[in-house]
Amino acid sequence: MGSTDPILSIVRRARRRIGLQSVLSRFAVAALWVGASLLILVCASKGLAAWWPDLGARGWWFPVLLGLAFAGLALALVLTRGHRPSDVAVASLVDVQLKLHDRLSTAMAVAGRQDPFAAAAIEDGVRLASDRRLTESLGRAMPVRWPKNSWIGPLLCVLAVAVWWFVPGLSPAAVQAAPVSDPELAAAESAAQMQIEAVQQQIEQSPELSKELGDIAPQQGASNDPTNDRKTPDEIHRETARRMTELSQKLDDVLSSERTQSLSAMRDALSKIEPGKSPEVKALAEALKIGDAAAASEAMQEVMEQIASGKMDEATREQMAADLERLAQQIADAADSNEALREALESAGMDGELASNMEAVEAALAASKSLNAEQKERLRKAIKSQKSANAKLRKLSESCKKSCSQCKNGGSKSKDGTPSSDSEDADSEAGEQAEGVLSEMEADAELESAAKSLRSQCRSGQCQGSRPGPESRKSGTGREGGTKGGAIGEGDGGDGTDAVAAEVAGKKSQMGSKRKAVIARQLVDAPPLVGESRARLREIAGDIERGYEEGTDDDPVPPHLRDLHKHYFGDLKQRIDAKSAGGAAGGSGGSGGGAPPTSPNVDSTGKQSSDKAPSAGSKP
Amino acid sequence: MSSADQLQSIRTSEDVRAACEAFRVVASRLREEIGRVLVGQEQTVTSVLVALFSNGHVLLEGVPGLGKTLLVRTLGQALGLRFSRVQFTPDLMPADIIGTQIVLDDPRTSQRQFAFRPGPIFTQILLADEINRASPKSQSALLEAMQERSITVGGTTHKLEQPFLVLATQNPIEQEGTYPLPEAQLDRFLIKVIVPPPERDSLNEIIERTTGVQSKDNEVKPVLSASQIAWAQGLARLIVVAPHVQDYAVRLTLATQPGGAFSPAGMEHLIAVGASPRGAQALMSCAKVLALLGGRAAVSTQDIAAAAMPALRHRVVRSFEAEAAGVTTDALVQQLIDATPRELQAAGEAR
Repeated sequence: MGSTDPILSIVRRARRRIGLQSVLSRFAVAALWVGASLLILVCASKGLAAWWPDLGARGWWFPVLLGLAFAGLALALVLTRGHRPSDVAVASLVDVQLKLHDRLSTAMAVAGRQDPFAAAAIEDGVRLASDRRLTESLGRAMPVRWPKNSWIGPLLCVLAVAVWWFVPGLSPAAVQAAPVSDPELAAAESAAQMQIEAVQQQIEQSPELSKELGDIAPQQGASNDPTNDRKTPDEIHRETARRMTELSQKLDDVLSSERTQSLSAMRDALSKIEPGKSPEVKALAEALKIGDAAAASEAMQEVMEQIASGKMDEATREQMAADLERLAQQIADAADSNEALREALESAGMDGELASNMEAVEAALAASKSLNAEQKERLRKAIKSQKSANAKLRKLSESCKKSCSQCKNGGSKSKDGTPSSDSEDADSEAGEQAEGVLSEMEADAELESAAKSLRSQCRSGQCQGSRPGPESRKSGTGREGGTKGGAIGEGDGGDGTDAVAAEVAGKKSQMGSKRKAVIARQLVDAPPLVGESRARLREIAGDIERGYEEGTDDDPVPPHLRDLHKHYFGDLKQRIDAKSAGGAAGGSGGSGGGAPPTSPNVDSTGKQSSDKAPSAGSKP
Repeated sequence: MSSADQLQSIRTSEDVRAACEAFRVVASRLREEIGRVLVGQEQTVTSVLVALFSNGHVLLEGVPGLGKTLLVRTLGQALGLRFSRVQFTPDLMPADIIGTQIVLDDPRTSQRQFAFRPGPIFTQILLADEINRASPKSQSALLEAMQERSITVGGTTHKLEQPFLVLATQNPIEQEGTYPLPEAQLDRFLIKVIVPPPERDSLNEIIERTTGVQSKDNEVKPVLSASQIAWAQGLARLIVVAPHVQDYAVRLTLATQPGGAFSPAGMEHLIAVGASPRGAQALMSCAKVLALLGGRAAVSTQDIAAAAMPALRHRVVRSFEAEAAGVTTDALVQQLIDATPRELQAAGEAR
């Protein structure tokens, strides 16, 4: 039996080629994985740097990734060595590649056998392997080639390096290095700065408002520069708008606070005062009626001076005393009327008459189950502010009464015609009391006015702060923007969401001033319609027919179903009518007989139907 | 010297080569002799010879007029074997094929006794013409003869003379009134051969031969005896099959099993029933004969791939999806051949 050395020689040669090809293939796969991983991680690091600046600054990714790359390549080498094919397997591959009818591999496989057929097979294989032409053709049959798509891995690696070096991405360094001279960015910064400065200036101008916004003012001041952490004009606009919204909400709170509500209650109460005949008291009453605390304070001062001077004749003095007395009475009555609280109770669906008794209101409020917590809180605030307004009104009324008695006493002059010290003390006390109430009212009015003005400025600032989004810039008219689109109308629109928010806030304010609560109503209070239809088929047969015609206009029926549809729906009404008529004539019976004419109801299951529609499968 | 003695005398590789060459020569002579009558159809003739030397049966499928019956008759004449033909019809009974017991009067004893009258199956080459026209009952009368090469009638088993070869024909069209062969019956056929229509040159020659003057050269003479056939069949059993080549046949057979470890991805839903172990046996038997016809003493994966189509096409049952999609069994088998790698694969490298 001959030696298989020539075959082994071929096998070794083929094995080298196979191994080289395998290494190339695995390198290509490893390069693909490494390249893809590198690219993903580089892109991720660029993105993550925006949230975690230290990550980008440290730059430890690159060495790690290089290490990973080398590890991948080393693994590929190890795997290649681990999959060493056997001699027979290599010979089999050569046989397949060169179409040798498995002569080499069979010779290798039966090398240990002793029978003549095995010997013939081995000799045949050896003879074939000894042929020089086989060695020559081996190179052509098993070429070592670069694997397909082997360029993808290196390309991904190059791409990753390019991204690393050339794409600024979201890295903080890139943001800091961004040109400050960018006109759009600079304009946005400038506008935001101006807006915030204007608001701050207005807050500083009003000490009362400044005092009320004390907790928010430092925050506003600390974040003067909204561009600190921002990168794009849009973000600056959004941040400015957000701050304006916050301030606007705070101002809403101020305007709905106890102070302003108390002022409002006082105004409401004083609005029904009748002016007297005396010019000084008339001026005082008119000032109180329109809620002008400053004018009322001046008028009160004049009244007190007039009384203290004692230069009035008797008739004037009596007139003034009478007017003051009536004014004091009117104010006292106004204090007792609790008009504002009455309206608040009625708006909340409670009995307005309860307003005359505060304790009863509180008890009713505590016992009420129809009001929610927010409504109760609002009413409690109204009670508090009403109490506060009443107290102030009573003080004012008392002050007027004192002035009246002073006036009646003729200014309490001494015998030498000069005012006595007692009368001076009484004058001073009444004046101070009135002055205190009126100055408090004046401060509240100033606070309210400043808050309203600032709120309006903030709202306009929100709209200004929100520049048109990209969509509205594209659209031009700002109509098709959707949530990001512009407001309806010409121009560049603006952020639709903010504009709508401002509009809604404005409407809420308007509704509040009318003192009418909006009560939501359940639109559908019936149980939902579920289950099978119980409509009379005869009644809706015409609708079905029409519906079919309209439906086929919109959505054509496939040609092979056209006749079926036409017959089914086209003859439906006629058939139902015929069936119903038959049912009426024939009385109750089977499905063919029809149901009693009095109850031609049909459900979709058709269980007790007489005028049951023909099924889709039934022949017309 | 009997065929067994002749085979035992093969002791050296030289003897093997000589035997292989003798086999090739015998096959060539037989092919030539058949070619005197049958024009073209080389592939069909080769397939029939493969079945003959593999000791298997052949199912020939083709439209009428392609020479199926002529091929079988010519083969019988060329082999010098006894030849019978049974035309299968719907009213054919099993007794018409295998024979029946008849009552005979014994003139000497004046007694009556049953005697077996053999049917046409008691022959060496049986042409079952249009086998799918007979009822399954009659078709199944062939089962024992094809598998066991014996017939049992009235409790007595009768051995059939060797070699015994059944060549059945069926028409793929005119399916009305036919009884498709059951899977068990189909599995008994070693190979199924699709007889193609003749090519241009062949058809020209057929016309010349059959419509012109009859030549004596076209008469067939016996060129092979039964013992020579037995020797060739024995030689085919002896040739070498390397383990990895046999494994290829196994993988190819297992690939026909839907959802099996070697079933190619995406073909599970196309096959309802795969080939049985008998299919793998048929595959290997045919491959061995193909190797000998190629003058080689060892089977190659190419031989197995070449034998796969006739040996497996009637053993693979298409699924409803495949039928609906118009995928033929031949296309399925070809896909399996293409999808099964021929090179040696380590265990566990399925798919």
